[in-house]
Amino acid sequence: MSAAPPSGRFGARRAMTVLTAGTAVVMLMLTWLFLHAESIDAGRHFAYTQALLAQREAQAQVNSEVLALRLELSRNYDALTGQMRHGLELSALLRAPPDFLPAQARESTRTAAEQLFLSLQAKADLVDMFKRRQAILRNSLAYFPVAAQAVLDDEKRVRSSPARDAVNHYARHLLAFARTADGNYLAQALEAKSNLDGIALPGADAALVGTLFRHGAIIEEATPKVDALVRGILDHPSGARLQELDSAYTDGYDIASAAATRFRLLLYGLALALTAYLGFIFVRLVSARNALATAHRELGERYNAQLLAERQLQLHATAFRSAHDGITLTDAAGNILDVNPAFTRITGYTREEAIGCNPRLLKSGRHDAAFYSAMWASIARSGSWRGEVWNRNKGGDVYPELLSISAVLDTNDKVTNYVAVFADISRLKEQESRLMHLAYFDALTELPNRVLLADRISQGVQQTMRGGKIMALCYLDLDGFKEVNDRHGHEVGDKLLVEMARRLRQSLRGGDTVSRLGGDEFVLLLLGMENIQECMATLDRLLLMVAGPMQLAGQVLSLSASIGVTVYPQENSDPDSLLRQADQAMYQAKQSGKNTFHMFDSEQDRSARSRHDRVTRIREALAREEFVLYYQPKVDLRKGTVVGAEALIRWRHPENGLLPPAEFLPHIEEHDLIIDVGKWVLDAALRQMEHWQSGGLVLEVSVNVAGRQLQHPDFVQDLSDLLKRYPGVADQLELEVLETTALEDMSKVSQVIQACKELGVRFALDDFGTGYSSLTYLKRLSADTIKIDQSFVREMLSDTNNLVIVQGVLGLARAFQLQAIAEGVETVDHGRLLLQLECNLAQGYGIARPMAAASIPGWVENWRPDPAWEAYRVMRWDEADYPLLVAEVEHRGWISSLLEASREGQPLPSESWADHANCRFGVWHGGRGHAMYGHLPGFAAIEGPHLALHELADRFNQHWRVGEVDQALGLITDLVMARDRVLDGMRALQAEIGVPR
Amino acid sequence: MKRTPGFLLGALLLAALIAAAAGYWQRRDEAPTRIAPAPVFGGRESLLPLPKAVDLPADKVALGRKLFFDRRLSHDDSISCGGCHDPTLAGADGRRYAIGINGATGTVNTPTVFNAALNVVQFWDGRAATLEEQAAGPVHNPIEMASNWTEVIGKLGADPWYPGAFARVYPTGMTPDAIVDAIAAFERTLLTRDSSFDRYLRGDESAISTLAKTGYRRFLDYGCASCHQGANVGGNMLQRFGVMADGLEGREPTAADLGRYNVTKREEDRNVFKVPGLRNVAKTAPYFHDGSVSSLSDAVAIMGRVQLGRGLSADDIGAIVAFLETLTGEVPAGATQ
Repeated sequence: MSAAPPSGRFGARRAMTVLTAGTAVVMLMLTWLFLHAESIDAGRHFAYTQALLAQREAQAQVNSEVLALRLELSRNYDALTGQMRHGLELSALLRAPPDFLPAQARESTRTAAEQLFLSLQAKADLVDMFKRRQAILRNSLAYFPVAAQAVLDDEKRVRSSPARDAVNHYARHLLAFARTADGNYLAQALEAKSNLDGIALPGADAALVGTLFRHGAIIEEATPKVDALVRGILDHPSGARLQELDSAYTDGYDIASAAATRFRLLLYGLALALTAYLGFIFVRLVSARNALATAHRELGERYNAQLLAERQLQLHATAFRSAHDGITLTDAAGNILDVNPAFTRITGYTREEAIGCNPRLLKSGRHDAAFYSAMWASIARSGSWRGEVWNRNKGGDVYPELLSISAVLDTNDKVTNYVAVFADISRLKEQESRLMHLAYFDALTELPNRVLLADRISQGVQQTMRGGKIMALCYLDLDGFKEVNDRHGHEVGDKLLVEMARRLRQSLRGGDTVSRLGGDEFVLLLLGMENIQECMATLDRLLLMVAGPMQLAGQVLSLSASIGVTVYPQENSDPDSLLRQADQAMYQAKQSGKNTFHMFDSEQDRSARSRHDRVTRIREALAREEFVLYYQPKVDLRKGTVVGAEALIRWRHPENGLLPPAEFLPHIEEHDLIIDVGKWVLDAALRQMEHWQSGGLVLEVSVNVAGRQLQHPDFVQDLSDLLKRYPGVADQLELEVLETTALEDMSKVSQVIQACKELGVRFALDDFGTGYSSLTYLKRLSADTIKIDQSFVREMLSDTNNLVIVQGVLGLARAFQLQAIAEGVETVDHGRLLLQLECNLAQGYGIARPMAAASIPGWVENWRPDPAWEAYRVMRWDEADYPLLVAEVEHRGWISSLLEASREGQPLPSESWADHANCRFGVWHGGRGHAMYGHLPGFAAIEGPHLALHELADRFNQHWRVGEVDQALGLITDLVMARDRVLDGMRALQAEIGVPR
Repeated sequence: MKRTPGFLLGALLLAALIAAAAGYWQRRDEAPTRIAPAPVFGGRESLLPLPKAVDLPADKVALGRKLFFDRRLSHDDSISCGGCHDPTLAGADGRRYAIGINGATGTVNTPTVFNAALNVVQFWDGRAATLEEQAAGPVHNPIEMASNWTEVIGKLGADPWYPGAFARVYPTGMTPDAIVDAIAAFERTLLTRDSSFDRYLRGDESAISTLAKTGYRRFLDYGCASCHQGANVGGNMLQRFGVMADGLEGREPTAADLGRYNVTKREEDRNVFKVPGLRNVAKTAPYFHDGSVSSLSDAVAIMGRVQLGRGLSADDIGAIVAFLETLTGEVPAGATQ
């Protein structure tokens, strides 16, 4: 018992006591050290030292005063007296040395001070005596000469010479003695005096001599005494005493000072130690506080957590008790540990009855062992199971419940409990089946509805695929049911439908399905037929059965039906497609006279569908923004400037790549979709123009407008709205309309063009030349530009017909003051010829291919006209000289056809080229040319080559005709060279006859 | 509660610390005695002008004045200091011998209190080194005041004024030391400045007569100024009375005639007296320690003969007396009651 540790409180109190005692001891020690360290009172030390110093000073003053007085330098004793008194006062002070001196030193100091004091008193006595004697001696010394003179004066009267001499001698030597303190002088003086004693003097003289001798005696006596006193004062031992006192005090002070220093060091050490200790304590305190704070926080957290857990537990308990669903809690073996009130409500078993039992007492017996083992396997695998279970309650009733079982695991993943939550879903079940019936069956006839039918069709398709037999889907529509309804009312109609349903059902075999889609439409699904014939037989039978008379509302009615049939296998397998096919066939049946059936023809269907698909695809493309615009520049060949661009639609098809309009626009030309596409194109082009303009590029853009779009009543309004959205570029838009389109509805198109012109939009007639516009039409249309169809332009270099057409169109344009632009400019020669034909505007691959919008600004920036056009740009040709241009084309075309024919092995063109004067050039050359340009060297120079070419051609012709193919082909090289010479010559001549503009 | 040990320890500690602090501060507070500055003196000539009185606290001087004239310092309240040292009689009593209580007659002539502060010692025989020592003397002298400090303090303590006045000036209150200190302070103010000789010394040639100037010359030349020198014209030394001749002139010597011998018993101090200062000497007849001479001329003649061994002519005496008369200064303000 005695070894028991002290209680906490007792231990704490003892620690407190120890701490207090320790503090007290340390404080006392500090105080003690402080007092010792501070023991030397600087003031006292200073005062004592000052006193010593002052004493020394005072004694020096005393000594110097004494000397001064002795030497008659000073004539009063005030200073001497004062200094001596001062010294005595100081000495009295010095007798009390400061008490900080160590005892021994203090004692020795005090003794020394006492010695000094006594010594100074002795000195004061000497000083006192000095003052008295000095005063007397001074008087006598002052009076002695006077007295001597008095005697001598007296002697004069008596003329006693020896006495006179003696007095003289005495006085002189005594004064000398007084001055020098030399004993010889004194001896001589005394000798003179004794001589005088022997001389008798008269009475009056005797008194004088007596006075002289009295003063002389004083001088004799006092001089050595005063000198002795002076010596005694100057060499007074008080000086040594003072020195002793000084050293005694200094020694003592040194000792005390050293001691104080030691204590100071100790104090410093102790203070350092205490500071370190304090620091240590403080650090410990801080760490303890931190630890405490941490502990406190943790405790708080734990408390809060516990509180939360408790609340949660309560919540859980409440949830458990008041849950609507039954809850069963079992142990790992499945024995019930607890159930909630809902359990009792659902099962009828009370909590007391249930606890300890196994839930299998609720088994209804409706599920087999496999069901339960699957359930447990799921729980073992995933920790839970959820499903519907039929159970039996205490009253013996079987009911469905939605059960979910969860395993509760401990930290080692070992099952400790199971929680089963279940809800009685018998009402739900009933509702479900009712709903299901409603959902899948027709309420009137109780036949499967469209939904169930679709399901059955899918099943049928599967079955058919597997079984290798034929499935038929028959769409049945009663003929004239509407009339029955109208005439006899809906009730009769409904009864008729019910009766019809009965008949249909009756007529079918087990696996088949009959369903009602609504109204008088029924669908029969026939499965497992061997072939079409079997199917047809069944359908014939069906038609007969349907058409049989029936008694309804006291009347006999008879209705036929039309049936559309489609069979499977085929390419479509989805119920919707099959139903659509059957439906379509049913209409065919109706059209072919009713009371019959019609088999669906898939080939007929396909073509209709494909067009539809393409349109749909294009609509999608529009919605998905798969279209883009490319732009083909238009240039002014003569000025060398870019005048605009034509917007051309492209389809960036995700699978097929970039598609030109010819690939897709024809599909929608007759469809309203073309209007939407057209709108998109207009919008995109305007947007692009605005974009370019913001980048500093102003470019007129022409957009193709389809006829259908142009003729749409809202076209002008739509365009106006659109232009308002792009005000900056609205006046730079040109619309291109096909000449053929314009001619379709002349009045409408011209109205539109007029309206658009009011909006500031210009029009161009595209592919001009293909539509055979009459002059009247062209005038009425009031377009601004005509675009010469590229086929003409492309061929004009080699085909004079095309060249003539181009020429004609250009003339037409000029006549109507329209702008003309040539499309299809593919080579430099095209450009050159166009320049010669006075057609300045051009467009085509020879200038630029259509390009993405982003490339346009760069192209515009960099485009330069071909250098070959340079000469032609600045020249013009008289219209009368056009044959010269035509001749070039003619000759080129002639030679190429000749060469082509020879390559192909065909007969040569029939015309005879032999006569060079008959060719068009020859005519010009011989006529107008000769008249106008005969003087030109080029004109003459061409004659030879021209003649040679014709000769060569003639020779070739002759060889070819007679079958000398090799000879003919051997001429080809020469022919080509001759042709080129002619063409060169023609160009040179052209250049010569051209006049500068 | 068992907290007593700790509490006690704490209390003890506190007490110890307070004691230590108190001791320390007290020690600090005891200002070390101030060293009096070394005295400064007027010059090396024989005679010097009278210095100014030192500045002293007015309280203390007033207290000293009150005591100086307070008869309660005598046993029967009959005599005050001022009774014999009457400022109106040049700080003396004009008698040959002083008269104490009950008519007791003193043995020496009363020296003047004027300029006594300048004396090297007090009393004719120099038995008091300071004014303070001197002040205590008459109080206890049976033929003077015949009292003692206990009696005096008892009587003064009963006065309503003194205890407060002392407390104001002295932390110790009324003590013998305080009493004599106050009296001495008062006496230190009693310097008779502005004599015509002082004015002369300060350069006023017309301050004294030609005769007095002659007298001053002879006073210096004949050796009078060997003893009667300094600011007080004497008073700063002792000297035998009868250096050149018997001063008593054959009179039966008294004990008082032995002078300093009575104090030191040393043969060389026989008949040695303090040399009196000659300030106001014309007003302080009778002269010498025994008051034996009532005429200043006689006194001068005797001095010449006895001390200097000279016979002074009537001219000499007349001139010297004329000079001595110029030493009469002004009675200081506040010297009287």
